Amino acid sequence: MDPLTATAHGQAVALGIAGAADGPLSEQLPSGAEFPAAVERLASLGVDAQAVVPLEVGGFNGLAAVAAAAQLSLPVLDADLSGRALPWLDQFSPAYSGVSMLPAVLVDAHGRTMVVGGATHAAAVPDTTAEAGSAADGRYLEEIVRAVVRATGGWVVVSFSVGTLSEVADVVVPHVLLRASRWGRVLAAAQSLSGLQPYLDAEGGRVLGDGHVSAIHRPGVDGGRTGWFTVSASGPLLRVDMQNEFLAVAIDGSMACTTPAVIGVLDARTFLPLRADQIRLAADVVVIALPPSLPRRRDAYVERTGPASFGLDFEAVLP
Amino acid sequence: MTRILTVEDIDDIAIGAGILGTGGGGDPLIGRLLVQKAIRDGLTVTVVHPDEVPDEACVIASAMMGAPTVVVEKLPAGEEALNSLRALETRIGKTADFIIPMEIGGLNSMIPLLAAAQAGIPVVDGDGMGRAFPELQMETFGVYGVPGSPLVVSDANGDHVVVETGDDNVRMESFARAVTIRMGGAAYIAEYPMSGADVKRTAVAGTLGLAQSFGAAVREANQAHSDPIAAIASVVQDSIYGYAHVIATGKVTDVQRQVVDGFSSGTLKIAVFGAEDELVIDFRNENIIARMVDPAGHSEVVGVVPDLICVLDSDSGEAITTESTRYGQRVTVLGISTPEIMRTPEALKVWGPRCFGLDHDWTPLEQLAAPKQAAPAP
Amino acid sequence: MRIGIDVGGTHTDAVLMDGSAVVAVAKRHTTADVSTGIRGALDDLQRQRPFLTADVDAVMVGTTHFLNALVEADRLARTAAIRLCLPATAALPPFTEWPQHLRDALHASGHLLAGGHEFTGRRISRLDVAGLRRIGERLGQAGVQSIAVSSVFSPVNAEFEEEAADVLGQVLPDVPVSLSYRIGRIGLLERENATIINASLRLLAEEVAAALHGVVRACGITAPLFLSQNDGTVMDVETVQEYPVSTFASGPANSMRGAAMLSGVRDCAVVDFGGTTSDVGMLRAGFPREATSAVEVAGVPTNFRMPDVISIAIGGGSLVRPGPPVRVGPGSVGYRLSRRGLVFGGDVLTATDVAVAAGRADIGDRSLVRHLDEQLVHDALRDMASRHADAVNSMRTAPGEFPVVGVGGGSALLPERLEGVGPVVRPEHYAVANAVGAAIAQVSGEVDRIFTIPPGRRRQTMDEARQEAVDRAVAAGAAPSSVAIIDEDDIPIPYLPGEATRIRVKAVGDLRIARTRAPEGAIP
Repeated sequence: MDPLTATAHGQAVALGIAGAADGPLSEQLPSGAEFPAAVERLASLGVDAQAVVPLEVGGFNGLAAVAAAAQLSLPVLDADLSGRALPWLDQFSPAYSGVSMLPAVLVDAHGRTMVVGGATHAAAVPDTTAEAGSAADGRYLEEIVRAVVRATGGWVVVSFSVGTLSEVADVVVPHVLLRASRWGRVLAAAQSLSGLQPYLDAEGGRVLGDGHVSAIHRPGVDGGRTGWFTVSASGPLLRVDMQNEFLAVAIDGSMACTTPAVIGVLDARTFLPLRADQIRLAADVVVIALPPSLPRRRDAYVERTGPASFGLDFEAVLP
Repeated sequence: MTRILTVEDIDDIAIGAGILGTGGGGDPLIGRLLVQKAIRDGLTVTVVHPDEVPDEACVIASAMMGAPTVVVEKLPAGEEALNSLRALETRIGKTADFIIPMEIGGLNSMIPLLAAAQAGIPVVDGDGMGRAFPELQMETFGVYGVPGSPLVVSDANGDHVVVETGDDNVRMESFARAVTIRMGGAAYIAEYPMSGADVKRTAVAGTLGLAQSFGAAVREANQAHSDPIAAIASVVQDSIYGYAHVIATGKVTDVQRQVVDGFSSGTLKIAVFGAEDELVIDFRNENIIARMVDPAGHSEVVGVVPDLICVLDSDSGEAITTESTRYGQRVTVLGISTPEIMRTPEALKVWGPRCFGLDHDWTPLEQLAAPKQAAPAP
Repeated sequence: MRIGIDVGGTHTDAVLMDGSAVVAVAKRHTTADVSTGIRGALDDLQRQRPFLTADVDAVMVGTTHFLNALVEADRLARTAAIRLCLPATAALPPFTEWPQHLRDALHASGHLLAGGHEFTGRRISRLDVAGLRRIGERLGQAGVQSIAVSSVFSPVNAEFEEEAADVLGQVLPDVPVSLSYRIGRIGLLERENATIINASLRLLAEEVAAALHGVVRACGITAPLFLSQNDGTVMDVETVQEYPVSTFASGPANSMRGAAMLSGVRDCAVVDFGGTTSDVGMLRAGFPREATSAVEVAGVPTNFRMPDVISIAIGGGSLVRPGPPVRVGPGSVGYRLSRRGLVFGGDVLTATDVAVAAGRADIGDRSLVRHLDEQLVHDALRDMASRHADAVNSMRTAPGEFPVVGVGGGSALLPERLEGVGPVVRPEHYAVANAVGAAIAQVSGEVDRIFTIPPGRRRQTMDEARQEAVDRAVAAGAAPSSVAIIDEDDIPIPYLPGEATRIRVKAVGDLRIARTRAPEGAIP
């Protein structure tokens, strides 16, 4: 369903999984009942779910929501709340759009449920706007989810209403699912860098460089939240900053591209994308950049998802 | 018999609840001030015995969850426990007829009284722990088959989280704990929604009254300059706990503390008066085991959880928590046995010595010989 | 040389000390204006042992003036309390549990505003600056003279209290503001209470500081002036004007520190035997052992650090009941001893009369007690001795004998040994131990708050806390080379993640004596 033309009655429900995506989730697979359980519990709180929207198109959550929509026999919106992958719930679009993420329903691998409810946090913060209230709610939900994930050592399904379908266009990042599927086909079919070029040109993207990974400094080492790796070959030296996601690329020391732009690190042989935790020393890679998908509140989006939001001390640079 | 509690009754309950805290549970002080203020402001705290609760009545357990150390600084806004109650009522679609304390030991003796006064409903004279325990699954309600969830956690902002973990009370504890920490380290819960019949079957009955009797005995003994600890022991004899004896009287010579898995763990050493022996008490929030060690290093267990090992100020008879224990204090260690409902095989599976990491089976206090130099309680 | 002065309820004592030697001693009656008594005592010192005023390095004063003001609910400022906390803590607003007469005396008003922190230092909500301005303006119109500000977990993060002080300073530039994080420890109600008490004493503190300053300068002494604190260390007179509350119960600490100095015994029990009561405390390494429980001051719960002292109702003026059994106290003729005691020609049998009859003391007219029954005298002395032995025993921390140092005017009534305890030492100048304690006082720095200790960094964190305590001692006037940690304690907090631990460290050092004199009139 196109979010910009959605007119059906009812609400769009955001669905996704929060937690350490690589570890626990790959072992302790979802039973499949979690998403329906979450939507059912939301219904008991008065949420009339008529469509599903992924929390984030990037990574596991893009497909999870599609699967959930199929399970629930609901349409999925061609949209998400992040335009990419993002680590924290308070970076997601409702948090700066005046839409509260509360009440939210969390469901764990055993079907155990938590309802995070309460007054909107705008009430506790005097003299501020709806946006400030939704940001506070987002931060609060993020912290609760993080605490629960830590306590249970796994993951939880996160779900909440993003508002009525007729108003959802103001909140979400549109057209990311079809974009993802388009790029999936392009990359699967790609035989060479030059073969990618027309598609990059069409979207205003570019190849930042290629070569082998010459050094890696993983996130968390020395207490730093972000890490980096370098790519060198005959051409210029690339440095890619990363956390769970790729955050910025500098070419020979000058900043070429940063989050929220889409930074892709591709296997140089297969052209399939690599995750940050898959980067290995000496691997041959291609680094590409695509302009971000943008919601209506572009400035807020860039501010909330730009380098500063990850503690990096530089301005956003978009292709 | 329905009773209405006075400000003075609350003083007594606070003293008694400190004793039943068996080293943990937090200082009842802030809770006492809250309840006394509510009474002075015109609210009523009514207490009924479990036998008077109709079988079909809806009863909800109430408590503070988290670190008592936080409560002394971040005092409650006032209606957190009531908000939890209301949210739980909404969730289960029933209105509570009664409140029951989750934990009689320490600060949690007071929070349910406040919630009940605010809700305008009576409190059941009983609780789910019969003392203080560190975790939410350690309740007689759960031991005898009542699911703890849905559970609601609330904080001062008016936020609440509903935890629905079916009958998995251990997972309920870990979810609620995680939320509590996010809420600043102390939050207020409503849990174990149950029927009046459940209460009669599963609650440790009469513990609010017992705490009050302890407090009154201590107060009267202090006024009469008689021995407050003997007075406590004689109250025990007339209760479902049934048995108590003085394990030792002495002076604190060492306190070691560390945090292990979120618990304040450690060891307290007491030089026993009139003997060469040393009493060594291990604690994990609450006192969990007491051993008498002779000069040759031979050690003998003289009290072990779930029996109550109460470290009391020798002069005043009031409880000394593990946090406020200091070198040089003159203390009397009183052992109090647990009532029948807390010593069944099902119960010991949840709070027997092994649940606290001890490599011991439980031996009832009354079967452990009272040390020679300690006079048995009257 | 240093001068130590103790202004008690009845007597003003002064000593002149050269190093650790007491070279002159004076005892005067305390006067209503304080200064006249001090002036007389200083003149007595000068007469006894003429000294150059330029040779005086420091003057240290211990006074119960502030405590008396509080107990009498007199001379207190109109005080408002502002707590930064909402939405938390509203259930128990400021002035909870205060006696009504004190609330009246302060024209107490309590106010709650958004603010405060969690134990981790994160904000509960942002500071309501607009609300604070409004309250400030209202308080100004209501004629409030002093303001106490508290914020939840301010010992962990003091930003809101500091910001509130700035805002209030703009709105009410002439009203002093007392901040709780500088005054008390974790425990909001008790810390707030201490801060309110402090605020209520600020106007009086300015007067007392000016009076003390005036009388000392009038004697030609230009040395810096200090006041004794509750823990036996001192604070300079300028700082006292901001923190009078920390000086208001210095008596027990001074007498115990004085006893240690005069007797040379550093680990012992100290009995301060006064006119109506006898106070028993313990010295460890020359410092008084501190009480662990909450301290109530004039009916207000606080969490001050005070020496662990128990008082028994036996003093030089205690009534002796002939029995049987013979009992001394708890009634007393108090300061009227010099008229009512038998040896002074009065008609009441007192503890002092018994001591004179037994030859333990030589006061008044001995012939007036010659008729006393020997058994009665014996039994009365025995009663006093055994009750002191009980009191000392209850303070004992280890088995075995230890010395008891007797000070105060009544200590002549103590036997040579306390049964089951040890020998009683009564040092020279025992009657002015308080003033000696004031004269030898050191300065301290303290840290007490919740630290979140990263894994493997416990030692570094403790070191940081120690350094902070040492820095504070130096900032308070200690000579850096002399500062030592005298007490530390770390208590992990259960149910909290991240190794949250409450760390308490106290550092103490010798007063740094500046040889350059403060210019005349530099101190207000």
